[in-house]
Parts: sequence; structure tokens; C-alpha cells
Amino acid sequence: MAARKSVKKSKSVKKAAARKPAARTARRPGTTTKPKNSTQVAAAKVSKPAIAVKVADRAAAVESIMGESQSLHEFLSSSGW
Amino acid sequence: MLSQDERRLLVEQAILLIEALYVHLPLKRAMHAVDPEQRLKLLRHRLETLSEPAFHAELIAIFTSLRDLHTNYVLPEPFRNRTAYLPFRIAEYFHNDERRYVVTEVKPGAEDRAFKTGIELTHWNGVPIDRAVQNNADREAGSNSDARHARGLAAMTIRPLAVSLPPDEEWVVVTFKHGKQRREKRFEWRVFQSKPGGGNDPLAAAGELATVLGLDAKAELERQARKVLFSPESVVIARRARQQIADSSTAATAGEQLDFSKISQMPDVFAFRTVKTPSGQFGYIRIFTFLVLNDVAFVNEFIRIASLLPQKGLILDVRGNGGGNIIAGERLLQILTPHPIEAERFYFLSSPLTLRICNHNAEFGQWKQSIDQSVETGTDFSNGFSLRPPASYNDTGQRYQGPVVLLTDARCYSTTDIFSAGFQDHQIGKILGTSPRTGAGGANVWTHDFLRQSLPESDSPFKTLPAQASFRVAVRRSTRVGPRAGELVEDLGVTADFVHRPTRKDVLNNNVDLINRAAEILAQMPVHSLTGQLSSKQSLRTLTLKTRNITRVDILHNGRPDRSIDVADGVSRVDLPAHNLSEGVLELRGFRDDQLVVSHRIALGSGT
Repeated sequence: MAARKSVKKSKSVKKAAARKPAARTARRPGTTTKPKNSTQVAAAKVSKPAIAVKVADRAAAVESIMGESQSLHEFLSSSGW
Repeated sequence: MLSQDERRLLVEQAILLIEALYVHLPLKRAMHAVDPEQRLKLLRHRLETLSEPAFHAELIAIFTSLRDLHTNYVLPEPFRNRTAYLPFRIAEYFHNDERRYVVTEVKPGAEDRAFKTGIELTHWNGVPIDRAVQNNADREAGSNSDARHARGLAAMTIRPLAVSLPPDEEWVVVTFKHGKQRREKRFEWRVFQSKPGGGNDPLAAAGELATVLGLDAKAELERQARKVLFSPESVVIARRARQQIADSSTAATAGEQLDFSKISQMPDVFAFRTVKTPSGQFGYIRIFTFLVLNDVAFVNEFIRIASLLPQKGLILDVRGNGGGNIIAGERLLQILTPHPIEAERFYFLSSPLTLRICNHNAEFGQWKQSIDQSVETGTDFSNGFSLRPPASYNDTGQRYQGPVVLLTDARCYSTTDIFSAGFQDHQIGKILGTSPRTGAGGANVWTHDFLRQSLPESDSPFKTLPAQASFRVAVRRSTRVGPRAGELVEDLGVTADFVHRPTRKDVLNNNVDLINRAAEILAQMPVHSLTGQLSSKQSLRTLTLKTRNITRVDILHNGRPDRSIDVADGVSRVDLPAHNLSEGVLELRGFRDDQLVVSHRIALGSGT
């Protein structure tokens, strides 16, 4: 089987290929882009609650705050349940 | 382990509370066809045949049968301060009227590539998830089906062992969707020692709070446990806020400071922000709990954060709030309306024991006469009175003038029910519920500890309980006011004006659809505003009014009418004789079409 000859694309061909997707979604003059439904607008606009404090290691922070835990089985066995 | 005598003491104290104090007993007998007295007497009769777990289980079951989240058996140590948990939280949302269940939080460190926030659960130990939640709900004490369902859902992953039975299963196997596949994962129930994460202990109210408590203690314990398990940031913020406020009072400041223009000084109680929605920009305040010691500080902090938000509309979110200090809830209403607040009436059961408590404690004196007369009148209940003098609910007046939408759900309970009822009865705004009704708890609850304090003499019927066991009991029931005067809150709850069932986006993306719906409602409500400022010039003082959407302003000085003027939007000026304005309060009442729509108070004295 003959080796396929590689064809080197010219710079202009590469530029056209790069432009193609953009050209497909380009807006026609006189039209506006509208989201499909109102919830898309909503998701974009409602701000998240501000978190003023960042905890670097959240897992360690939780363990530190809650202290030691034990399995339910261990707890009930030790408490005479 | 409890001795037989200790168990007997617990049952006898329970019988005393239910027979002689429990204010909802006639209602619960009628509405739920229950007979807790006979069950307690049977338990006393069969004590020796029961194991300790069976004893606790039956006592909890008797209290649960009342369908009253106020009235609980609090288990002794080591259960009292322990919480059992699974390392994730689930929430429900609706898709084409079908309930679906999604993981909304995973304990840091417990997540993996497949099991994470956003996955949908299909089965719980092999049982379809919706049925598993319903089975759990049937074991819960909520007084209507929505409330029971909400309680059942919460108990799927968190159980405060002070007031709940431990899970039967030591682990659960959950089935969940992972792409197009279904996967299973096993989780072990674990137990940790509960500590209020910056909040108050809901089982140990003391001082004045003990007499004005309206709280679902279990919901509050669950809320505090969720903070510890899933939100270490919240715990850190609460600690730092307390420290920062303490430091500021001693002029000591060190390290990075919290910005109280963005965070509440009571971060365990409030969160707030501005929300930008397709209907406009509005304020948003979440009240997590009413469980505060100081109702004045609570109301003042609300006023402070409300002033930082847009004034053309407020979304007030009390979903999941299990209540707390009834005075805090009822005093907050005045901030949102120009109309005077009429507080709910509270009634004791008429019994020799309630009469003895009222005789012994001056603060309950006004209930005494009607209980005493019940021997002749044959009424089951005392007359009804507000918990505080009427003036104390109107001592501050309106401070937020924009329209308000209140967000509720089936977990709103007690003080939150009472607040929501007051919001509706005073026509402050619209209620948007994620369920049709609130949780329906209408009473003031007292702990057994407080009852012992209320009758401390040696022949008191209230005895010291073993191993920190306790009881909570609804002692004063409440009724609504205004157009629904006399209607019970208990078992009926507050019906929302609009219902928005949560969407997937709501439970995973900060309630975005719910907030947008609330904003739509707000955008249709009129905005009125009225402010006034006094300035002095020789013997006259000039009152400069700024008004919007009102046509008349009535001016009252210390409650007495001074004058009435017609106004248009914008600025108006009125000259008043200075000698009349040395002290007291100048109240401005704004009207549109002869309806009172807004009010503003100016404190007189030095500097005004």
C-alpha cells in the first residue's frame, strides 16, 4: 500500500478552517441573540452568596470542629442499647 | 443504664406533663385519634418486661404519636449530646410533578469521583428512594403530610439522638445514577458529640428565653449538625464574628477583619445579599433561626442589614427555620409594615397544675383568673393574652418600606409559623412556599428544667430526672389575629399565597428559580417610600419630606395628630414650631388612596 502523500495546508486554508465554526454561529444583521428560556437568564444573573472565609483543608477543618466520631455499632454497644 | 425506679420516675413525670399541662391534648386526641395517657400507663405497667432500648423506643413513640415537634422526650446521656450521621445530605426537587432526590452536600473528605454533589439517588438499601423517604416520614412527628415528609427526608442522613431513635441499620447502601450507569456505594452511620456550631443549645434554654420558646429542637439540632459536617466556613465565620465584636468593645483588633457590610454580625442567624434577577435587583435576607437570647439585638441587626440592601423589594427567606424566641419573631413584624402589630394570643390548659404555676410566678398572673374560673365556666383553656405588653411589639415601627415576599416551607415551625402567620394576618406581603403549608407548630414550649424552676418548693410535682433526661412540652397554645382571629396555628400551619416546587436548579444552584419567582411577585407589588428630616431655623423647625407613590402625609407628635398635608412625589417642606418638638417621637404616616402604606419615625431630642 502506497504511503499517503501528506498535503501541507496553506496558511489561508488553516485560517478559513479556524473561522468556520464562528461563521456558523454568527449573528445576522438586525437580529439579537436570545437564550432559549428564562431560566438560562436566571442562572447567569443570580449571584452566589458571598463566602468571606476560605478554609484551605476543609476535610481537616470538619474533623477538627466535630471532634472524634465512632461507628453507630460501637456507640450503641458501649451505651447499652 | 437506667434503674427500674428511674424509668418509673420518667414515665410518671411524662404522665403528669401530658395530663395536667399539655395544652394540645384535646386537639391531638381529636385530630390524630391518639391516647398518650393510656399508652404511658401501659408502659408503666410493663416496665419490668422491657429492655432499655425498648423502653426508650416506646417513650419516644408515644411522644411522636402526638405529631407535635414541641413535645418531646429528651433521652438521657450518652444519647443527649450525640448525633448520628451519614456523610452527605439529600434534597428533593420536582420534575414533571415527580419527586426526585439529589445529593446536595458531601462531607469534605467523603466525596469521590462518582459520588459527589449533584448525583441522583434511585434506591436506599434496595428500596426505591421515594418510598424509603416516605417510610421514614411515617416515623416522624410532623403535624401535616408535607411536614412529615420534610422531617422524614432530613432524618435520612442526620439523627440527633437526644430526640430520635437511632437508625435500625448500621450502614446504608445507596444506588445512584452515574452517567448512564447505576452504581452503589455503602456508607456507615457514624456518631459524633454534638456541639452548637456557634448557636445556642436548643435543649437548654435558660432565663427569660425559657418562658418564650417556640422551637422544633430537633430541626435546630439538625441545622447545627449540618453546619459542622458540611460548612466549616460557617463555623469559622461565626467564631470570628463573635471574637471581632468582643474585640471591638475592648478596642483590640488583630488579624483579618470580617466585613460586616457583607456578613451579618450574627452569621448563625442571618445571611444577606443583593440578588439580580430578570425582574430587577432586590434584597435577600435568610433567617436561619429565631433562637436568640436577645430579641432587641436580633431586631437591630435585621434593621442594619436591611438598610444595606435595595429598598425597592425584599425576599425574606425563613425556609428550614425551626423557630426559637417567639418575642424576636413577633417584634420583627413591625419593621416591615406601617400598621400596628397585634401579637398572637397564648392560652394555658385549665388545670390545677397550670393554676399553681400561674399563682407562683408573677409574670403569668394575667392568665390566673380565667383558669381559676374554669371550675365554674367549664372551659378547657384560659383566656388568651400576648406574651408581652402590646406596646413592646410596636416600639420601633417600620424600618423597611419596600414590598416583601416571604419564602416558607414545611420545615418552618413554631416561632417561624407564628412569624409567618403574623406576616399574613397583617397583610405585610405575599408568601411564596415551596410547600403549600408551613410545619404547623403553634405553641410556647417549656422544658422540664424550667418547670422545676417554676415550682421550686419541696412538694413540687416536678422531680429531678436521671442522667440529664428531660421532656419538652407545649404549655401555651397560640391563635392567630386579624382576619383569621382565633384560628389555631397548630396542625393547620400557614397557607402560602403561591407555591413553587423546588427545581433541580434550586437545590443545586442557590435557589435560583425560587428567587426569580419571588422577584416576579415583588416586581408587581407597589413601592412606597417616605422619609423625613428635621432642620432648625430660629423659632421654627423645618421638616423636609421625601415621598414616592403617596398622596398624603399625616404627622403625629408623641402619638397625637399634628397636621395632615397633601404631597406629590419628590421633596416637600413643612415648618413646625420648634418649642413643640423638644422630645419624644415624630411619626410620619404616608397614605395612598386613603390607605396607610408607609410610615417613618423621627426620634426627637438633642441633635434633631
